[in-house]
Amino acid sequence: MRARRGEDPDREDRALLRTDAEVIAESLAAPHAFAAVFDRHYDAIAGFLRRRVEHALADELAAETFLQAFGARERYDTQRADARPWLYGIAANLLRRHRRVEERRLRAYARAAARDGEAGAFDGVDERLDARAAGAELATALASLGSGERDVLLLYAWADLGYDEIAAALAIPVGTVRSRLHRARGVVRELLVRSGEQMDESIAAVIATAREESR
Amino acid sequence: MSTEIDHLRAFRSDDAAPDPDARAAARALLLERIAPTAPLRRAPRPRSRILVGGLGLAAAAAAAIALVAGLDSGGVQPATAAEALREAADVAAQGPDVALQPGQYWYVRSESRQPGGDRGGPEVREDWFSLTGQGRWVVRRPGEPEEEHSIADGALSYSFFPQPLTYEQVRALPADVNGLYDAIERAGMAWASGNGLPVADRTHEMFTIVGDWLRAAPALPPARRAALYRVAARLPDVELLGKVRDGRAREGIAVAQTDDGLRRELVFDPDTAQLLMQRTVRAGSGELVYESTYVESGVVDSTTARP
Repeated sequence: MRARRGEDPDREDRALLRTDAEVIAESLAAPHAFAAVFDRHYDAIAGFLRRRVEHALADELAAETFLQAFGARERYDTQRADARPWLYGIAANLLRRHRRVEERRLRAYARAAARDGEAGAFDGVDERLDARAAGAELATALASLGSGERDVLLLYAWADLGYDEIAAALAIPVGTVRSRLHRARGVVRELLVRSGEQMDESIAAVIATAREESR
Repeated sequence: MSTEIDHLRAFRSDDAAPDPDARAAARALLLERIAPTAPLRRAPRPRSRILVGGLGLAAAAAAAIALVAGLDSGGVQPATAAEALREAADVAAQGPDVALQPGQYWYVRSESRQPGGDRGGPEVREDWFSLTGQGRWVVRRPGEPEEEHSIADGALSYSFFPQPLTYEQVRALPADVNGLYDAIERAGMAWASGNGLPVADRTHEMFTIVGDWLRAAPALPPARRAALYRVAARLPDVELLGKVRDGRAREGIAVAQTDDGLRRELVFDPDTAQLLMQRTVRAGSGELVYESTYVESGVVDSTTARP
């Protein structure tokens, strides 16, 4: 049996032109239409989750996100053409139950990145060192944030959602989005600056050692 | 100069690539939810071949399980069964790996109750299983002499339903949730077709199998233990009953699936991810059909030793 959508290219084009809201509205009467929501957004949702928790759990939560979305499609606000904030909101809500796992993973990552950074220091001062050191600090910063702040920051930086969209996703006022993002960015910036200073010191130490050795 | 947001955008960006297998599995799961096959009615079957076979009747005590209101929550309560089960999976994945060595046995003591009997107290049962499925099986019923069987032919090997699996086979089950889901689905369908039952309602079979396999979960490698809970989290129509007490008044989380007028409950300890109790009640009246509480388990060196 041939796939229905493959038979008629025009039909597929039309499907692509429809907004998420139109697809979801159609899925009330024709549930199968909801598969288009999955096809459009699965990769982004799974990718967002995979950056936050171990991949097996992330894949579970990604699958669950779409099951919950399907179950809740009647309540979708069809004024919102783009379903991404809604889907990210469901994903973030599912993630919240795994906050401790996420934070443990971030701290483990920070330790590993810091170790690699030290080991790599003698390879020379290069971009990799910069990236690793930043990775350790970013992981430390993210682990230290409250889950609400982390959600706002990562929906902004990784999901590219705007303030209004983040507010809709997390069901919080836009003012709260602003204040959480402000604080979260401050924490991350602070740790990055501190790591930059430490790096300057470690670079100085490498250079001093190299000078000693070349004498 | 790059901002902290640019740094963040690069951070863990390699992780974002989706896994095609996981994507396909998630899509299939969604389509399955979208177009559910009409559930077919079928006869209820015993909870488990091993535990039901040859059991005497114990007096039905007052329901040993009771919804416990206001227990210390120790954090945010899970809102759905899937959430509770995924949290248990996280805990299970962190647990120890208690692998049996050749010559060692996995010991389980359980206490079961079912209505209709006139003897007091639960039936106590002890099982010793070896790597190969050999061992000993002792049953004590109130007011009756002890019954003892040796488990030599593998027919009762481990408590894995529907096919007797050896401990080694069980440890070799798929550790990833998709693979294990498929294995359990196959096992459920094989059992149903082998017993002349319709196989359409396979998610109910799967829930029962997950419960049976969780019974031995402490002896499984942590990744498989976690995957079992993740499979359960995927099954539809599983409801969260909340905090309850088991037959030994231990606190646990109960989830249940109702099928054919019977509600099958699993009670697990959220802190250890150990299965505490399996219970079946009539859906409307809550009348007890059967319950089994897993009191103690562990690795021992002989069929007379206890942990």
